[in-house]
Amino acid sequence: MGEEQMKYAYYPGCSAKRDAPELDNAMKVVCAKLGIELFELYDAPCCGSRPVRQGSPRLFMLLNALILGLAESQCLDILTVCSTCQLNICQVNKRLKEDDALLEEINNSLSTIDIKYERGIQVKHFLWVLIADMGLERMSNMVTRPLHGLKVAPYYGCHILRPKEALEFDNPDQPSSLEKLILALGAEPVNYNGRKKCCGMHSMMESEEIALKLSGQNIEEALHKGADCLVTPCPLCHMVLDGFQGKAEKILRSKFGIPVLHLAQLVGLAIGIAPRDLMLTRHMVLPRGFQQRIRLLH
Amino acid sequence: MPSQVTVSNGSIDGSRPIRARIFRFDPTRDREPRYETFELPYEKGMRILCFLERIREQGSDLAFMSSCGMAKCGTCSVSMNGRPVLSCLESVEEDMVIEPLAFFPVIRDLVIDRTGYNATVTALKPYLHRSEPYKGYPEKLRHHEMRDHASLMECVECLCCQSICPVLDLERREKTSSQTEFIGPAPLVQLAKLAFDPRDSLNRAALALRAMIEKCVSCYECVHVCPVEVSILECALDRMREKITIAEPDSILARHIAAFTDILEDEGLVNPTALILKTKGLAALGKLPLAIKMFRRGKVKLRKERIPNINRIRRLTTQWVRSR
Repeated sequence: MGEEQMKYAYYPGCSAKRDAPELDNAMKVVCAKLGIELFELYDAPCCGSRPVRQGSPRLFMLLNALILGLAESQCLDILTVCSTCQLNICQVNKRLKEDDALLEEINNSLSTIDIKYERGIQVKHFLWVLIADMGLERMSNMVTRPLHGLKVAPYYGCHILRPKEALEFDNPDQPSSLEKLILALGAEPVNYNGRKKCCGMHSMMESEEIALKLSGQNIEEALHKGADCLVTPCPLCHMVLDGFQGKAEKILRSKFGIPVLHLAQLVGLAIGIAPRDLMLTRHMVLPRGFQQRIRLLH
Repeated sequence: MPSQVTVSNGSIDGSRPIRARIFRFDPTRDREPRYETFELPYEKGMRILCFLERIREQGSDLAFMSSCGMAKCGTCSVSMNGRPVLSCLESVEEDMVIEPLAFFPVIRDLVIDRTGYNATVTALKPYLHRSEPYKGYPEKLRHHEMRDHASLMECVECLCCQSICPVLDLERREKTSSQTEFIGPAPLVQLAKLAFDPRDSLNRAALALRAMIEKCVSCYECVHVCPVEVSILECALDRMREKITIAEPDSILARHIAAFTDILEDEGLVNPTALILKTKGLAALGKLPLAIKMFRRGKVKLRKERIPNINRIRRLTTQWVRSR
């Protein structure tokens, strides 16, 4: 795909606009440097996450069809930065593409707000855009500060892998896209089972202990395999892995202190963006030693 | 019909024998489990069950369960290379480790003890509780009334989902007894099947809460391994949660869903700080120390921010409320 075609309707979702502003910021500086043009969907609502999906399936369909319709009005595919947003919008898109009657019914409802969706767009996570649209070779060529010697634990989480039928990108049993990208950035991917396991985010409200233990054991395994940091394509996973890492340490009676990076931040470091411009200090686990190592890579 | 039925052993050319390390354990005789290696010639379209049957035909006393051989009885599930599968559906691989389903007590070799699962389902009152007496045959039922129930009738209770659930895994490892708090996806599918039968009048939502449905982390592991492709999360657990919002509105699960929807309607995007406060009320004060740290890092926003054209969202939610 040529550079002139790298334009997307950018859907940051709730996390990047509310509790993870560093992700939204990193996306904007990184994409500008990579030549990816983002057209933000400022008036797109939340995709419904799990609660709306569970409590009101019809409202869930309407919200995601609205997001799709807004992107289609700009004739652009959607670029997401959150795995749950990716799954929700992608799954609704698939259903609307397969079911004419459902599309008609949804469009009837959307007509009250002057929106129509005609099934003309695709929904892509930032990770997929880097791998499939941009390509690893071009990505490697953009690297000015190869992350040599850095052991990065890829953390996929769930909703970028499963359910397979809705996402159709990585193999959920043996995912490889994050590893390929980490290699392209000059770093070394850490192989561990926890990379495709759950962080427990979607039970945080009802059962925080489950989330702390699930995320804690995944971090523990990554550390045991020698990881210097974790990288995740999902800000919801990031919230648990980074924001609640201290609590997970207490509950598992262990000490982790491992920085967790958003995918855009890791890419940003490798393409020469200064750590301060990537707002690494906004994280709950400050990447002090890690930042020193990044400086040494210069 | 599950798509796996048509899966062929495309990657196997038959030039090499099929090799399997199989778990062997008889708790009445053995101190600890061991693995026995078997090698057999490949047969076109060979499934794991066929491989196990050939081993037995050669005189081995390997114990395994099977009945229908066509993905209907759910008895032949095993773990193949760490993945729970139905042995009658799954193609062999050139190198396999075959074990009993993870986390279940072993009766012998590949045969697991299902007593705990059966007891859990029995406690869910797995029979129709009619509000009106049975009026006799034929009982008029409309297709659309039975649609949600029928989608779950595909479940063959093979327990593959139970053996992969991370929450069950966590709770099993922490408990000394085999009883866990969260009952897991397979019994919840059975509960949901009854809950969606229009003739049933029992408060199944209350039973789902007692079964700790809120501990489900929505990881889709159960969906991914289901050999008969039941949409466990969306057609069973999510729809049970929808029932809970109506039948048990004071539960934390229902309050979470209501708070999320309210904030979405008001602001368009959902601010987690507002969500915690609205769902947990005063109990949210317990999170104050962490909230202060997060505030300092710019991760907590106290000010309400609305997306442009918020009225569009409100019109959609109004439509939804009316349709309810």
